[in-house]
Amino acid sequence: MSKLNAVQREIFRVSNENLDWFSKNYTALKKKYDKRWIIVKDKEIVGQGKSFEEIKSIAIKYKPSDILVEYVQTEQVAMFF
Amino acid sequence: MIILKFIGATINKQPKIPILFTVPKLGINETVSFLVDTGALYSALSEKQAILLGIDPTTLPEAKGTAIGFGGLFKPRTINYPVFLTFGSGDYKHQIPYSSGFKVFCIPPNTDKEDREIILRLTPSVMGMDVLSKFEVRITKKKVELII
Repeated sequence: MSKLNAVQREIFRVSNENLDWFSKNYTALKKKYDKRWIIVKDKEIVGQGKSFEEIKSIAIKYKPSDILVEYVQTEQVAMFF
Repeated sequence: MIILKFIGATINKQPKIPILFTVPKLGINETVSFLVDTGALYSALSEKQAILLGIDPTTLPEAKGTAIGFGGLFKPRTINYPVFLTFGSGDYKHQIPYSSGFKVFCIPPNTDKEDREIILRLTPSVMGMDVLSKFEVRITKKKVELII
């Protein structure tokens, strides 16, 4: 076990913030952006798209650790992994 | 003895946790949200995540065997360089090294465009029992905790 350096601490802070915000707002987001890809950054949606190719073209403008890229939909899909 | 607790969120009934995914040889040092999947033998990146990290999955060597998962059969490929998974908790970290062979689940090349899009949407990167067996895993309605 060792300590996180300052860069790693900041990376985790941002990622946890994005994940927490997405989690807390998931119900509203899936209604607003139903059947769309979205990009979460700094507690807001900074991009959306109908296809992965579309969202990828937006996501590459950001550092991957600064954003969360997810697909949302109101329809529940049963997934088995 | 210090007990470390790494915390993620349960979103849409899926427990996810951010991990720092590092591949020094490829210059990658970014967080990835992994699905905590106690039913998976191995951890793997999804094709979607690999692409977002700047990895072209088609350039990776094929792994031996086939992976069975959502949507049917996946053709796994491997990152044949050292990979480090770093968990963060407050000021502390716990790192799990892979000397080589971290898997990337790739959608078969003959998949039609519509199916490919659906698989990209729904297939997460997974943290399987190769990693989870090192932790005590607690999953609740709102969060996931990995304790070591």
